[in-house]
Order: sequence, then C-alpha cells, then structure tokens
Amino acid sequence: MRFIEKFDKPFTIVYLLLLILGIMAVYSVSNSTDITVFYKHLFWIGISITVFIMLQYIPIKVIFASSYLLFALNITVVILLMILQNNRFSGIEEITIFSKGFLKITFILFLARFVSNRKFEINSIKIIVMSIVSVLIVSYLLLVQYCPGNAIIIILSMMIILYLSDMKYEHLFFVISLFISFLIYPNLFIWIPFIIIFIVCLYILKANIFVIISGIFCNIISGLLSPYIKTNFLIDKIRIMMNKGDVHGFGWNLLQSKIAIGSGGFAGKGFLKGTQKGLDMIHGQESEFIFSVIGEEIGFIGLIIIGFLYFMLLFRTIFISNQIRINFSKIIALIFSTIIVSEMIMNIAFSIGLLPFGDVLLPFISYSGIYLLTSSIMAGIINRIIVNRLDYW
Amino acid sequence: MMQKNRQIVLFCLFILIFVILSFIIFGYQVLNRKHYTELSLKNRIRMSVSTAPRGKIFSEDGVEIASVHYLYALFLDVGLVKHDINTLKEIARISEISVDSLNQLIRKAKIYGQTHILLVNGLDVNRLSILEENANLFPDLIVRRTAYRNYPYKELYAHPIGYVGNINNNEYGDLKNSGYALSDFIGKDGIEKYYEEYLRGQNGIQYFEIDETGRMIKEINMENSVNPIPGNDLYTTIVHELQLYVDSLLNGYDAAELIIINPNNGRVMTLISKPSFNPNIFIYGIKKDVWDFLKRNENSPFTNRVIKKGCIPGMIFRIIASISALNENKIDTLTEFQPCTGSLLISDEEFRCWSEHGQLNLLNAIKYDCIIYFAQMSIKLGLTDFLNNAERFNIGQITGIDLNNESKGFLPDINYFNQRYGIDEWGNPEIIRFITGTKDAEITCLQSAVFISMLINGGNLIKPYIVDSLVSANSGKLLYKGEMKKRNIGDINNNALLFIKNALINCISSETSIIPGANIPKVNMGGFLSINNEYSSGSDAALCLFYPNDNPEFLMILNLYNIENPRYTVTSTGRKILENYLESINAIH
Repeated sequence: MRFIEKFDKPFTIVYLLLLILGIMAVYSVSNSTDITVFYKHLFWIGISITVFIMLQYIPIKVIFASSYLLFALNITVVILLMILQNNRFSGIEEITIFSKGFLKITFILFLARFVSNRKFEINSIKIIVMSIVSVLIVSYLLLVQYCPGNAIIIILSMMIILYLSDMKYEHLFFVISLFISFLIYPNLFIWIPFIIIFIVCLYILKANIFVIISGIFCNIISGLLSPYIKTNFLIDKIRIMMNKGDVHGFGWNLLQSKIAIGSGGFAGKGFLKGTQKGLDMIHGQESEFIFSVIGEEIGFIGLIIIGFLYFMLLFRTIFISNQIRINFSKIIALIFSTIIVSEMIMNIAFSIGLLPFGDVLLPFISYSGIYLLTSSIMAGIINRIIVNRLDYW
Repeated sequence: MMQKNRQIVLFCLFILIFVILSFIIFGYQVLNRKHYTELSLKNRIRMSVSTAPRGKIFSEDGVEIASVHYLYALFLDVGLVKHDINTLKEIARISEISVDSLNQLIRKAKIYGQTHILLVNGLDVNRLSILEENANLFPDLIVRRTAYRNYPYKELYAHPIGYVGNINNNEYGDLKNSGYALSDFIGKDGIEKYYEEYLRGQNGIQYFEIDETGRMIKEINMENSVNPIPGNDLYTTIVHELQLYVDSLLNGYDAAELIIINPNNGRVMTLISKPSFNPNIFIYGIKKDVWDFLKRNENSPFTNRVIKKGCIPGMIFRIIASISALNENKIDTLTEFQPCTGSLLISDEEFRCWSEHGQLNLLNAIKYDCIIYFAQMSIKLGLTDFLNNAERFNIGQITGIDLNNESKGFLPDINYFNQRYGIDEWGNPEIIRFITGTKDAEITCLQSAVFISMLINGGNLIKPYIVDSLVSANSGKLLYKGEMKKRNIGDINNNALLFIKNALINCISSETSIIPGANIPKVNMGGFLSINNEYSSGSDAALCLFYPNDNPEFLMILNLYNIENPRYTVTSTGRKILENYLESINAIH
C-alpha cells in the first residue's frame, strides 16, 4: 500500500483544515499577546501530525489487544499521581495532564472492547454493571482533578457506546436514570415525579418487573448517595474550578467572551482584527475561549465553517460505518467521531455561557499540547479504521 | 448487528443540538450585534479623570512658593468594588480608614455619579510596594500618579497663600457643574481660594486599556480624550527675602501680625500672621495630636490675623481723632488743654497717662502719646464728628484686598452705645475710651495699614493687593494684572494730614522721641508706637514705621501680643525689619 493510500482523503483533508483553522486562530491571539504560544502550538501540531501518521502503521489488532492493559496502566498512573500530588511532590504536573488526557481514549478503547466481546450479551447485567462501575471510577478521577467536562464526556461516551451497541432502550434508560437521579436528588419536587415518569416509561417499554424494581432501587441508592459525594468535595471542587484564575474569574471571562462573539457579527471583524483579544481581555483565549476569537474575527460564518468541518468528520464515519467488518473498530470509529463533535458543541456552549465546564477544548483548534495530541490520536485511529474498513482481523 | 438507524438518530440528534446552538449564537452575533459591539468598545477602555496640576505661585523675586509635585495616590474604582464585608475590610485596612467611612465614601460617589474615590494621598513606599505585589488581589484599587500642591516653605506662606484641601460636600454640590471631581483639591483660604478659578486648571479625561482583571494597562488616545490643562502661574507681590527675614524675627512670639505695604500703590510686600501652620497637612493628612494641638491653640493658627483679627485701635484712633478735630476746626495745631499730671478726673472717672507730660500741644501729644491730652480733645471733638470722619477713612469697612473673608473690624454707632450702656447712661468716659482707641472698637492690621497709607500718601485711600499677575501656563499670555486702585478722600483739610504726618515723623526722629530704639540714623522715617496694658505682665504693642518721608514706599504695621518689655522688643524688631529692607534696596550700607 502506497503512503498516500493510507489516508482517507475526505477525512484527512477535513482534519488538516481544522488544524489550519487552529493555527490561524492561535496566531491571531498570540500575535497580539505572546507569540511564543504560537510557536509552541506549531510544535505540537508537528507532533500531532507525526502521531497521526504513525498510527496508520499500527494494526487495529494491536490496539484491540492492548486496550485493557492501556486502560489499567492509565488508571494506575492517574491514581498514583493523585496520591503523589496530594503529598506535594513537584514536577509531575505535566505527566498528570497527559495521563488525564489519555484517560478518555483508553477508557473508550477498554469499554469498546468490553461491549464488542461476543462472549457477552449486550443487554446482560454484567455489561451494565461493568460499564457503570468503570464510568464512575473514571469520571470520579476526572472530577477530583478539576475536569468535570471530561467526566461528562466519559459518561456521554459510555451511553453512546451502549446505545450504538443496540442495548435495549429500557436498559439504556435504566443507566441514564441513575445519573439523572444523582444530579437532581436533593430536590424532591423534581426527583419524585422523575421516578414516577421513569416507572411509566419502563412500563411502556415493556420492561420486565425485575428491571423496574431494580431500577427504582438503584435510583434511590444513587439519589441517597449523591448528597454525600456532592457536598463533600465535588461541588466545592467544581466551584473552585469555575472560579480559578483571577478574582473576576469565570464571570468576567464569560462576559468578555460573549462580548467578543456578539460583536463579531455575521461576517466578523476580519482576521487579526479582533479587538477583545488585542487587549488581552480574556484569560485562556488561546485555549478554552478560542471560539471567542473565531466568533469575533470570522463571525457567524466561522461557526458555520466549524460546524460543517466537524460534522463532515462524523458524517464520513457514519457513512462508511456499515462497511466496517470488525465490530470493535466500528464502535471505536463512531465513538471517537461523536466525542469530537460533542466536545466541539460543549466548548462552543461553554464560550457563550450555556455550560460551565471550561476543561473541554475545541479539538484540533485550541492551543493545548495534550488536547491536540489526544484529538489527533482519535482522528488517526478513525482514519486507520476507515482506510482498512474492509479488512477482517 | 449494529443498527444503521441508531447511528442516523444519533447523527440527527447532534445536528439538532448544533442547530439550536447556532440559533443562540445567531441571536448573539446578528440580532444583538449592536449591543455587544457597544459593550466591546466600552469594556476595553475605562475613562479616568486626571487631575490638572495647579498653577504655581511665585514671589515677587521669582521664588516658587507654592509648587506642584507628583506623588502616587490610591483610588478606589466604585464600579469594580465588591460589596462583601471582607473586601471592604481589606480595602479599609490598606487605606487606613474605617469601614463605615469607606461605605459613606462609596455611597457619596454613587450619588454624585463619580467613578473613582480618592482613598490615600501621597502613598508611602511601603504601602505602594504592598499594593504592587498584591495587584491581582485588589483589582478595584488603582494607584495613579497624581499632581499635588506642595508648599516648600511650609508655615512661611500659610496665610497669604492659604491652602488647598479635599473638596467637601457643600463645595462639591455648588461646583460639580464646573468640572470638579470628588477627588479634587480646592483652594480653601488665601490666594488659593481667591484665585481658585485661575489656579485650578482643567482636569483631563484619559482613557485606559484594561485587562481581564480590570487593571489599567496603558493609556490610549481617543477622540475625546483631553490632556489635563495645568492651572495658570501666579506672581504675588510678596518679597520672598523680606518675608523670610521677618518670619525669622517673629518666630519666638505667641502671636504676631505684620504687614508691609507700599503706601502709594497698595502692593503687599510682606504678610505674616503668627502662629502659623504647615498647609501641607491638608494634603497628606495629619496626626490627630498635631491637629488637636493646632485646634486648641487660642491664638488660632489657621486664622490670617492680619486681615481677620480685629484688635484695639489704640494710636490709630487717636490719629483719626486728631485729624477730625483739625478738620472740623475743633482745635488747631497749637491748641492746649489742661496739663498732663499723670491722671485726670473726668465725670468721676480717673484717666491715667503713662507718664507726666505737663503742658502739651497736639504735635507733642502725638509724640508722647499722651492720653490726658487726647481725652480732653475727645470731649471737644464729640462722638458724631469722630464717627463721621472714621467712616470717611473707611474704618469699619473691608479694604478690598484680594484675599478671602477679610474682616470689617468693628466701628460702632450711637445705637451701639445706647444698647451697650443703656440710653442716656453713657457719657464722656465711654466716649473718651472709644475715641482714644482703648474700648468698643476693633480694627484689623490691614485696615491700620490702609489708613496710615492714606495719611502719608496725601489723602488717597488705596486698595491693597497681593497678586501682581497671572500668566497662562501654556501660552505665557498675561491673564490678569493687579493694579493700583485708589480714591481720594475728598474734602479733608490737607494741612491737617500733613501736620499729622509730620507729627509721626517727629515721633521717631525727634531728639526727645520716646521710642529712640526705632530710629535709624540718617534715614527719613516716621511712625508711632502704641502699647496696651504696658505695665501688666504681658502687653500688646503696635508699631508703625514708614520710609521715606517724602513719597513713602514702605509702610509696616507690626502687632506683637503678650510680650515683655514691649517698648524695646517691638521697636528693635521693627527697626531690624526696616534695616533689612533698606539693605535690600541699597539705601544704606
């Protein structure tokens, strides 16, 4: 196979276009503030493209085989680093960021391999329990380390995996309801009607009595546990995360981001002509608030371009997904592309204040070495799967 | 096994979410674009009023007696300050004011729509470094380089120049439409107050870029940014060398007043009022004990005694009485009364003279300052004639000097006597005490100077002035020139004036002068000494000296209070001052 044939043209072009958009946006920010950020971004783009290419030479079988091991290793490293960090060891921050970033990928590989295992029936209780437990562990680890957005991505990806693996709706609903109960429990006026609706839905979906009873039981457990977990540290940590940085913190940045986006108008102020960034108004404008630069300089057209490019990735994957012979690959490709799109949506929603999670960045565009790398790894694996879609093991 | 339709449902779900998101952003970017564009313009810049440096004040000989220097001031941005108690406590701690007064300041600023509150003037290095180190903790505190008034000679010019202080509520209420800010300084007294509109300059409007913490990064030029226009430079008529010398002579006294004036045109050469104060305290704050000390001082250091403190007229009234009696033809220059035997009984009241002078005419009565002579002359003159003439000489009226709150002194009328002593219950003794200048009247040092000027310049009432000129700091254009204003006293017997003037010359330079200590040999000079309570433990003395006899250009009125051995003290002090002046104009070597 020639080198050029190792790349799916539509997918790779969209991937490269997004990288170029990122380069332009980061240049626009760093041009008026700190140009070294731009050089660092270029360096990470180089590394990401190299990794993207290298992944084309790694067989899917190797990824499949190593998925459990990778996940176990990653979890161990994250926990170890957490303990070390609590003991105030220094110089491990970089490793912590990397291990947290990779957790998303290794978890999806692990879960995809788990559910695609033909030995298990997708609707079996074993799958459900295992998924929930693993998700809880991973999302807990991320939450504790100020990554609530990534924790949500983890939960979302698990649900999408189960959904795409043809899990029965009642089981899927069962799993989702546990998280909803966890979130809304202390407010009984919402929680009790929710439980009633839950029972009615399960009844309509013709779930058997065992599922209904265990569903109610699990929901109550989830609800009752939630205050302890939420009040003890999670809420505090999320609050701290949201207020990190300066005293004006999140509110100020958000206002400035909204102003930047709103003042961009339909066609934007023009490349490099954004005024908000020139004044260094927004903390983190090259990373979590990168969309405010795009929104200000290219305007509403920028949003359309971004949406189009990301949905092209998802569409391309879905379009060829039925041709993928290996079930594991199929799940991986679909999950990775939906994750990329959901990160894009979450980040844009964050930029205008609809979501409070600033740790989810715009894949391929935001300046953040590790984020660029993990996104490129996902893109690389998707490309590898698309190109080799007709292969069996 | 994987169903295609689930993938399509998922895809459509994502598309739907994205479309909703797009609609929201469309709302921001297209429908509300104008609003956010305005916000983006407004948000990245912050307006700030920059205080205009006040105009400098110079002495006649070109010494900068009120200057401007730049210091760091601490301001609070009212728009940014968080209203939780901890923040306020912290700000109050740094600015060393109480939380209550901080709250009051914030409320006041909000009422008047002011964006900044001045917390500390002239930040010291310690606090400045603390603030710089913790800049990100206090985004609402702004350290700004600000022009301050400075009085390099401190107490020396506190009274003629006055002082500036923070604008207070009443002043701000009156002046807010004239471009004043709550953090501004305003002239409170003296020249600073009288010439406020010339000295203040115009505050500038500057625009600053701000960062995400709200801190100003750098100044940017906007269409409507205005640089502060410095106030105009003011040149006084005060002679610095003379003022400095006189001040050094008067330093030891409890209370003293001195004015040196050119009797021909009214230029004030020296103006000193003791005790004095350091006017810089109103700018940088003052320790409470120092403030209490100044406030409790019964000689009121903050009062410019030369123009505000009325004192017993003494010799001035006796001179007025003499002129009046001559003018009304009640006496002539040779008229004699009962000889002075040290005391005289009038209406059962004994009047005592400080010595036994024997038979006297008017010339000698003035020379020896004989109360017995003046008492008898007062009865002959009568109250009405005296009052008429005193009014004609502008006694009991302000002189019109260009300083604020000048006192009128006190010149009573008949009604006053009726009220004070009861109708028909007062008579010659009261009239004598009043006309000889020992009771029931007050006259300021400045009024004395103006009256004596009239006497020695040939009957012209002058309007004294202390500001020579005002010069625009930008263009160097002359804005104001202080000029001689005088009016002739009119139908007064010129011979009478001349006679009294000669009597005053005789007072000093005659061989039988009672104040030989004041005389400078070979110098044509005149004057008088008037002493109150001479034989009690602390007496008050007033000395008048003028030079030269023909067309005088130097007139000094010196009042010293609560001094021992007044005859020697006041005359030697006065002579030294005149000698210094003569040296400065090379009249003697």
